Amino acid sequence: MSILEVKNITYVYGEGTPFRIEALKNISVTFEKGELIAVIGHTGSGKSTLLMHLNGLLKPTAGKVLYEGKDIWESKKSVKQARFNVGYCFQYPEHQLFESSVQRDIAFGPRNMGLSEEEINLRVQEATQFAGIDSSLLQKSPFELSGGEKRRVAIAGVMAMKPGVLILDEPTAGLDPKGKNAVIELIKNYNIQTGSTVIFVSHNMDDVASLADRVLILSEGQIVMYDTAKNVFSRGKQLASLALGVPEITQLFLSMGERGFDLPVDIFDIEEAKAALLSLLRRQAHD
Amino acid sequence: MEKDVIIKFDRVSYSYEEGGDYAVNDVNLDIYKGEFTAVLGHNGSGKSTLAKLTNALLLPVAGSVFVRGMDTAREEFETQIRQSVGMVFQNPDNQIVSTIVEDDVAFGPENLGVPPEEIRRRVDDALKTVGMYEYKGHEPHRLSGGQKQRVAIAGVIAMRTECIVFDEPTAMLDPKGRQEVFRAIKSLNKDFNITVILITHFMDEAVFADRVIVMDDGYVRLDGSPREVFKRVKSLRDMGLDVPKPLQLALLLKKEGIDLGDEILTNEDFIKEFLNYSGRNNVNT
Repeated sequence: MSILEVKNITYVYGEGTPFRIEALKNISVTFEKGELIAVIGHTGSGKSTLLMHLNGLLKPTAGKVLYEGKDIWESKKSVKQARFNVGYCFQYPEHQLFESSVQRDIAFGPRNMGLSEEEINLRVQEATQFAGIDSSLLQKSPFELSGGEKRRVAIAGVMAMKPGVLILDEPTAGLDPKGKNAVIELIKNYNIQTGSTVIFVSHNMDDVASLADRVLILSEGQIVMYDTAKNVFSRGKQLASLALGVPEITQLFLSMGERGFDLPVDIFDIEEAKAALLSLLRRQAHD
Repeated sequence: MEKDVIIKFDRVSYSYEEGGDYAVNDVNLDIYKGEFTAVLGHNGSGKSTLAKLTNALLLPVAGSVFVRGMDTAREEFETQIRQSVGMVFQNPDNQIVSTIVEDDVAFGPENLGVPPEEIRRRVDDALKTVGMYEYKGHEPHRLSGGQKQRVAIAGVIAMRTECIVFDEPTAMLDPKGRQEVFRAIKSLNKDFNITVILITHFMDEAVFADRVIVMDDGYVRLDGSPREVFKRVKSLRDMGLDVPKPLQLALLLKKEGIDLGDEILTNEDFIKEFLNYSGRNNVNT
């Protein structure tokens, strides 16, 4: 079942100026309920522009955005509702922490939705659990936390609004391997346990490979691929031509393929890689 | 031949608050001319603090840092030290000061009082070195992240520093920008003999260094060639760090009785060892 549908949207920056850019060119795409979708593309491909349309931060120059079948631009009220239905977590969200305690920061979104104190507390608790934030941190100032913890608090703040669709712009950027893994686990758990759709932007193909059900690739304002992660990464050469890179393991297998090793091209997981190499050695032994 | 020491850490400690925990703890370190050193460590391990101590952006609370023999704690050396050791930070947007690329690159040498014709020459050379010469008349804010970061690097090169410290210079870039900037850094070291200290989270960048330093809790825990350091898989994982993917795969295969050795850092190493192994294997069977 689809939850969010983008129909023939075009978006123009700087209309009527010499800097006019068509950032999105007649794009149509459907996001299914409960899926974990990665959006990739190099800087300037239109990723952020597309995502900002999904909760009404930008209004399409032409075309429509439908949430559960209804045009989000139908009325003032529906646009406001779209902001709650589709939660948006910006890049480096920890820069936007501002409250005096972690608890208050996570509660900020739900409070804006006009929920009861009781419901707010419940949601803060839930989001804290997802984010793996120790409850002893709740009364601390967010500024006393480590970089990885701050990032998780900021994400928890958006999750606490229980959006039907959660958008994350580069959720793991700038984190160390440990912080990165914690954020990946957090996103996975949230997706599985709430059944909410998650759309995230990443430049890290290994993160994409380990998280995404489906991958959407944008280039110059147009969709070039929208397929399962396996199918997308099996087209490694095309990805390289878009200057996007492939997961490290896929790169290794592509290089081995060029040297004449008979290996599958759709491998991006290290365990799968091991299995494929073991099977290759067995085949060689039989020859 | 005796190695030429550029930066010397002599029992250096630093803490951000008086009486607080040490962000850098009793560090002894010699950085040699022409060396490419990668510094790894999880967030909060002290690696950025270490970087800022190299050119007097921070001063030790105990011990001393010497740049070319000059104590960084002595104010009269500050200009000379900054001329010797430059820094490039993570966010390119925070490092651009002018509205035209070449003006931005000229900013450093102008402040040093370099004569105009010499500045002209240095700016052109620096922009050529990082492959940004054709953008010299552009507005920096219209450039991509990778391009901006290369302009920032050119600004440091134009000051003729012999050592550049990079604090996670590729963390905010897309894969293309990352590749451009990393290629520029490698070239500075190999082609122009500039000493490089690279602070990074990316293991695939660290494997190209001559030397890898791993920090944890403010201490230098490991210090050696990439091969020596990445062999210490367990210590690295205990410190919240990864090992390079090709080595991870080799270790998994080893558990299955396929021993490719533990000298694998890059894809090329992996392929070579795998070829060797399957060659041996075929002869045996």
